[in-house]
Order: sequence, then C-alpha cells, then structure tokens
Amino acid sequence: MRGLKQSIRMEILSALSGRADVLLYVLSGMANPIVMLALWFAVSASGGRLPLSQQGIINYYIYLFIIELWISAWQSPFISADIRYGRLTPYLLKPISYFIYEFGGNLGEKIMKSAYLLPIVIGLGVLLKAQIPQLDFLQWGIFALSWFLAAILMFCVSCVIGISTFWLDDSSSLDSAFDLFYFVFSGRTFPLIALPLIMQGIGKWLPFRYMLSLPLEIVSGMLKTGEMMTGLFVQCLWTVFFLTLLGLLWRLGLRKYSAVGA
Amino acid sequence: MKRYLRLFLVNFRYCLLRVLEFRAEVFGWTFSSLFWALLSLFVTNLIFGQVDSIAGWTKNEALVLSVTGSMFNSILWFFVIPSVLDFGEKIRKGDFDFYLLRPVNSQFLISISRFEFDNYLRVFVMILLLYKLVPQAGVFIGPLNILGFILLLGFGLIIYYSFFFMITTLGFWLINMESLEDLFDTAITMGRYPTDIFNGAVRAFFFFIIPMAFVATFPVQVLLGKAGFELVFVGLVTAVIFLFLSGHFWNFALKHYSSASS
Repeated sequence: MRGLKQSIRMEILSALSGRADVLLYVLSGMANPIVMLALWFAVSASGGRLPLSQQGIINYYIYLFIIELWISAWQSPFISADIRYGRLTPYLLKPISYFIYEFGGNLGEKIMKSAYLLPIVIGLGVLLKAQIPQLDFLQWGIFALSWFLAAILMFCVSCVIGISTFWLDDSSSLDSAFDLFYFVFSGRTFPLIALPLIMQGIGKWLPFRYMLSLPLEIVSGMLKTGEMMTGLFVQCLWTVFFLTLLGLLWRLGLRKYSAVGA
Repeated sequence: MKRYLRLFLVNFRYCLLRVLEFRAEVFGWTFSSLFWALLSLFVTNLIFGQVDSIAGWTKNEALVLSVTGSMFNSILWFFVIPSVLDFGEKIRKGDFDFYLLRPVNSQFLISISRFEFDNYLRVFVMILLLYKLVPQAGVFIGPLNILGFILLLGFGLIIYYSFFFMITTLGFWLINMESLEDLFDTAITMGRYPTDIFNGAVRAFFFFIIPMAFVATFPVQVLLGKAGFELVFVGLVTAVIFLFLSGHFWNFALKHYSSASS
C-alpha cells in the first residue's frame, strides 16, 4: 500500500516537473471531443438525424470527457520498452510487484489530468448547458461500479498488450490493432448507437464497450436498469478474464525473460 | 543545393535499407495503416447517415476531404514527423550537439534525419481512391484544379513542417516534450474535417493557432472548384512566412542553447 502511494507521488512530481508537457497532452485530448461536437452540431444544422437529441449529444460528450479522465491507461508502450531494454530487472528485485509501480503511475497521471482538465470541462459543460444525469440511487451505484471496472479493465488490457513484448519484441502492431477496434467500439469518438445494428450487436460481446461506453451509456440514461445489470455482468466477466490473463502471461513471460539471462 | 539533395537521398536510402531489414514488420504496418485510412472513410459515412450535406459539403466531397486528409497525414508521417520527434528527444538527451558541428545547415540536417516507410502504401491507395471519388463529385476538374490541389498540399506540408519544427524548438526551454506526438496527431486529424463546421470565433482561433485548413479543406476546395486559384497564392505566402519564421526561431534558439554536457 505504501509502495502504491509512493509511486503515485512519483508520477505527480514527474508530471509537475514537465508542466508544459502535460499541458500539451491535455490540449490534444480536448480537441477530439470538441471537433466531434462541432461535427454533430453541423449535422443537426443541416437537417440530419443525430444518434441522440442535441441535448443528448452535448451531455454525452461532456460526460465522456469526465469519465475518460479516470479510465484511460497508457501503460503498454512503457512496459514494452522496459521489457525490450532489459529495464525490468531492477523492478523484479524489489519486494513490490512491478504492476504496483505501473498502477501507481497510472493513478498519479489521472490525478494530474483531473487537476488540469476538470475545471475546463465543467466550464465547458456550463457553457453548453449540459445536464446533470437523472439516475436513481441504485443506478448511481451501478454506474460507480461500472466506472471502476472499466478503469481496471482498461488498465489490464493495456498491460497485457505491453507484456506481449516478451514474445513479440514490439507491441506496436498489437497496439495499433487495439486502437482501431477501440476507436470503433468503445464509444470514444461517436456513441455506439450511431453504428449499424449488426455492429452494435457484435460490439456488445467485445470488451471495448466495457472499457468506456458502458458507464457512459448508464450515466447518459440510455439504458434501462435491466440492461445496465446485464452490461455490468458482461463487464465483470471481461475484467476477470483480463486480470487472469495478465497474471498468467506475466508468469510465463518472466520465465522466458530470466531464461535470457537478464 | 546539390549537396543538400544528395544528403536527402543518402538518408532516404539508409532508412529504406534499415526498414527492409525487418520485412515482417513492414507487412504488418502496411495493412495497419490501410485499415486506419479505411476507418476514417467509415466514420465519414457514419456521420453523414441520411443527410445530404453538412455545412455545405456533400457526402462525396466529405469523403474526398477524408482521403486527402489521410494522404496529408501519411506524407507528413513519412517525411516530417519522425525527424521532428527525434529532434525533440535529442534536445532532451543532449545528443544533438553533433548536428551543430557539421558544415551544413543544422535545421536541414535534423529535419531529414529519419523517414518512416510505414505509410507508403496508404499514399498510393489514397491517390487511387481520389481518382475514383473525385469524378463522382460531379464537377469539372481541369488541369488547373489538379495543379492547385497539388501545390496547396505541398504548401500545407511546408506549413505544417515549420509549425511542428517551431513547437519542437520550444523544447530548448521546456525540455520535457514527450506529448508532442499527441499534439501533432491532433493537429492533423482536426484538419480532416471541413473547417466550415466551426463557427467564426472558434474557426479563427484554430486557423491562426493551428493552420488546419491547409491539411485538406483548402486543397480540396481548389480541386473541386469551390474556391478560386487565388487560394494557392494565399498558401504560397503563408508557407514562405512559416518557413521564414521557423528558420529565424531556430537561429534564435541556438543562440540561447545551453547543452546538457558542455
């Protein structure tokens, strides 16, 4: 636990020392939702049919902004580099798991990004008149759990991709493939209901929806309580799957790693 | 002049040989980059849904924009961005002092240091797609339109190169610039949409801070006859200004450079 707190602290200090860097990252992250919002407004102004109402679209992207702050996990290139350059060894000698470091770094990054971005998003939300979600007590509980699971799932998946480097030498092609599917099926760029029905059906079984879209759909009021529960169940399954996969691949990979004499 | 051309070709050949060493990766990247390009077409299709036109652009025209944007992206990632990103890294590590000791213009040397061949196929596919899509737009395309299109693309590349180079040069003072790649990506992807979707104030901000219109909007406007040939001269003047600024900023930065070791 103390190791976790320390690595969170390290990440925050590192981010504070590279303030301009964080600012650039934050600004880049803001651009996509803003462009998508402008695009949907233009569609509606030209008489097109939106996947949600105009107010619904505004709510969707504002919630997306906020929710994504605490879900995003970008571990895979760093883990991949650590493995490739043999930098894992010092971590393996410590009495704490390597993933505590990674998770701490991830949490620290989330704290920093929230500090920078939350004021901006809330300002944007007020400006665009986004609404506060109308959920009952149970639904808020489901949302909170779903948000938490999405963050865990995303973290696990990015770690799994990173440790594929034990076998693949470079995780960048897997990363790219993941990014592609994530782009389409996670609801990050456009709401999933904008997709053709067949793809929506496929999307309900893939893990990508459960990395972002599910909590977003819940809080946007797009689902009935029954659907929320089903979604939550599938999300649990995928999370357990990737947690197990991570543990398994890590053990297998370490065996291979030490065999090379690192 | 000949010396610079020869240096360019030598570096190009060197990078090509290095890439061919890892042929399997080239295979993977070829398909990956193609999928990304097709994805952007898919998204454009999705957004249009049943509406005929958005912000004065028909679906077909928007597809042309998307393809042009992909082409622009591919060329930038081929020739410009890897070198600029390397440059950012080298400032941080203090590695680039050697570039200053060579008897050639240092800005040039840094800017040609690396080429990435990942996107080579995408450029050709995009040209083929343009060949197919443009006649469907139903406007007369004369040789002047095509010339204007190519020229504006070229000027756009110069503008974006100068813009990225100037931002990276800020690394002399800000040191930690790891998020540049995100910023560059955002700046290019935003240009894939018609700038008309933004209303006046937002558009002015984006136009003067990030010259997005040059990615796709301006070249396609000239190609499809939505704007006159005069736009090419706007491009020429802007390109010259940006290039001039980047050179001057570079010299200014060098004067204030404090190396990591000396």
